Amino acid sequence: MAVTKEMVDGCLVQDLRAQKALYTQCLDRVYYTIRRYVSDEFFIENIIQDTFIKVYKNIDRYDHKIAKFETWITSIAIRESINHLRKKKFEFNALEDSPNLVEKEASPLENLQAEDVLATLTCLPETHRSVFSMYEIDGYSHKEIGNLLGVTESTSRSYLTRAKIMFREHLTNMNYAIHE
Amino acid sequence: MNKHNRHDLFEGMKAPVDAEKLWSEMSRRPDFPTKRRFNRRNLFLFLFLFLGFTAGASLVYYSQMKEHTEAQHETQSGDQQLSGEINSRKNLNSSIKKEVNNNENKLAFNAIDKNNEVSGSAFNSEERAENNTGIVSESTDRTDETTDLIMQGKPATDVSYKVVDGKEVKMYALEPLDKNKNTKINKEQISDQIKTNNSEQNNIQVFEDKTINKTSNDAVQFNNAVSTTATSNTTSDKTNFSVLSPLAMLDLNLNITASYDQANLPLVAQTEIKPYKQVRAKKWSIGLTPKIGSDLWNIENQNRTPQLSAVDLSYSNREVESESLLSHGIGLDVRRNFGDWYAQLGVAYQESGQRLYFIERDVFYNRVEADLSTQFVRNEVLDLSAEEHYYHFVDATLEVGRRFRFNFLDVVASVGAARNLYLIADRYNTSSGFVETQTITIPETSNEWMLTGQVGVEKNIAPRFNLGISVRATSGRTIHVPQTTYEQSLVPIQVGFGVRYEL
Repeated sequence: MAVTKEMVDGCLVQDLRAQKALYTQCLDRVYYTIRRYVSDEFFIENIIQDTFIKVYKNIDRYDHKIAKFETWITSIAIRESINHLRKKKFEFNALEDSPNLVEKEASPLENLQAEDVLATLTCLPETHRSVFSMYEIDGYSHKEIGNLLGVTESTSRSYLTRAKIMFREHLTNMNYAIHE
Repeated sequence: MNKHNRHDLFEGMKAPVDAEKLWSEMSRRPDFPTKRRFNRRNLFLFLFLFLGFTAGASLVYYSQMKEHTEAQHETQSGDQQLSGEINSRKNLNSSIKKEVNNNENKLAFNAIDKNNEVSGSAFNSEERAENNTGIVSESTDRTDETTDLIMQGKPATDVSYKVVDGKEVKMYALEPLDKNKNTKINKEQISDQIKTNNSEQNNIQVFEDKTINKTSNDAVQFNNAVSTTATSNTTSDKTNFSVLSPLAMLDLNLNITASYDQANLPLVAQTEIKPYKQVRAKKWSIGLTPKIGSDLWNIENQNRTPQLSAVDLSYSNREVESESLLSHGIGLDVRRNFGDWYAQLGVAYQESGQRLYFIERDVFYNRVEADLSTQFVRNEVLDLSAEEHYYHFVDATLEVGRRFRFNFLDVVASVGAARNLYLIADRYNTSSGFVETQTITIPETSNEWMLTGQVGVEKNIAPRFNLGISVRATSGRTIHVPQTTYEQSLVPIQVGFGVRYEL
């Protein structure tokens, strides 16, 4: 079941029942979106709350002609996660660019289960994990990533490359067959 | 977008969180945007508990009253005023004032009650002036005697003795503080006068039963007058205990407090309904707290009157950042309680160093609070002269550690200071808190201190329904410096129940 127009309309008039229905419907998606960026369960619950409250407060800005509701709420969850990371020590240092490698490589996510992806992501540094998730899972471009994280596109590419290498190394250590 | 996203990887996976609990917490957050709806189930539960407790309290009350009558107990002048109101530190200031008055009254009462046959005309200056015998008259109008000691400038008798109930009662004469008008004195002044007694010039008599501080019930009662403060504080804490978060939007607050004191018998059960409405903007808020409450029963106060009606207007400017909270504000509290008026104007400052993430939970570290307030009191009931008093208070709180509003076990230390201009007494008293120390110092006459401990637990048993219980124990000593005597006060144990329902 997807988010219905009734749920959205109810949230527009701040109807508690509709808000809860929307929450129930989207909780799993929001959780796993945030989980890819933040590994601490305590903070994840906080960010979930912040995400939904932001959604309820700004639901009048949602336009179903532009995006599906799930996509909209996911983008808010990502922003809230990034905001949370920014409050911590979340800095991008200059890395050597390797711009041509990124797009040409196959995604390391092929043939992987969600649990493996999450477990591997947890092992990456937050900066690398964020770029990796935004690019490989959430489908953001480097330009969008750069805007969200406040870095250049080349920095985003560099971090993605490093993240992929680390990702594969971790999978190798876990004795996974990697699809090249 | 660079390509299709891979959210499909996580399709069908259930979030490993307690969805209901998370929803409950989120929906209670003050920044949660919703039109609150009344939950019938919780309302019924609330009414059921309220009515149940009321009925139970009534039964206990009538049972106690029956025993009370049969045994012809000495009626004690309980601290009716204290038991009634109060929900905050500011209101506590009022209690202190009452407590002082009560001490005076209590002293008078003790003497009267102790001797049983004398019911107070010993302290009625006009009667004394007229009969001028120095012997207690036969007035039985106890109600009139719930007033301060009065002295009037006419000659009276010397020190005398009288045997009452097989005990020797010594009667002292005191020098009036002002011979031109009635003057109130308190127990410390009495002590002074006793010490420097000059019978030739004096005209007012005060009983001093030498056994009173040793074994008699009166000694218990006297000390209990001190511990009544704790009862008041308990009431205050109980209310604080379920006091609304300043960030709450609209709450309906009901408190039921029952106190048990080993000397006073079960005393008071009371209710207080306090809807609280606060309008908040990003950096400011203004609150309105109309409040009404009543004693359900009070075994000491046979002439019960409605407790109070009050309006508490406050304005505060607050900044809630992600990791700290800073607020300052100004408040006006006007109330009428048992015929007394008082108004209080105060300013407050609060800062919390580290705030964690759930606003609703009030997880704060290292909270610092300071209040400055001035209180005006016109006492029309307890004071015959209906005098007006001003009190100035400085109150500071330092809280170290976590504080959870719900499901909490809280430890707070707080200390305050107030200067009571009328009694010219420096008072160091406590305000809200769960572990408290209290010291009262009255220069050159006596020194009283009190140590109070309280543990409270509040349980959230429904999304907007909370039930709390706390236990409080108080101990302390009163040291009379001029007489180099001290009294060990009781250790009353008080149990309070708080119920809160939030709309």
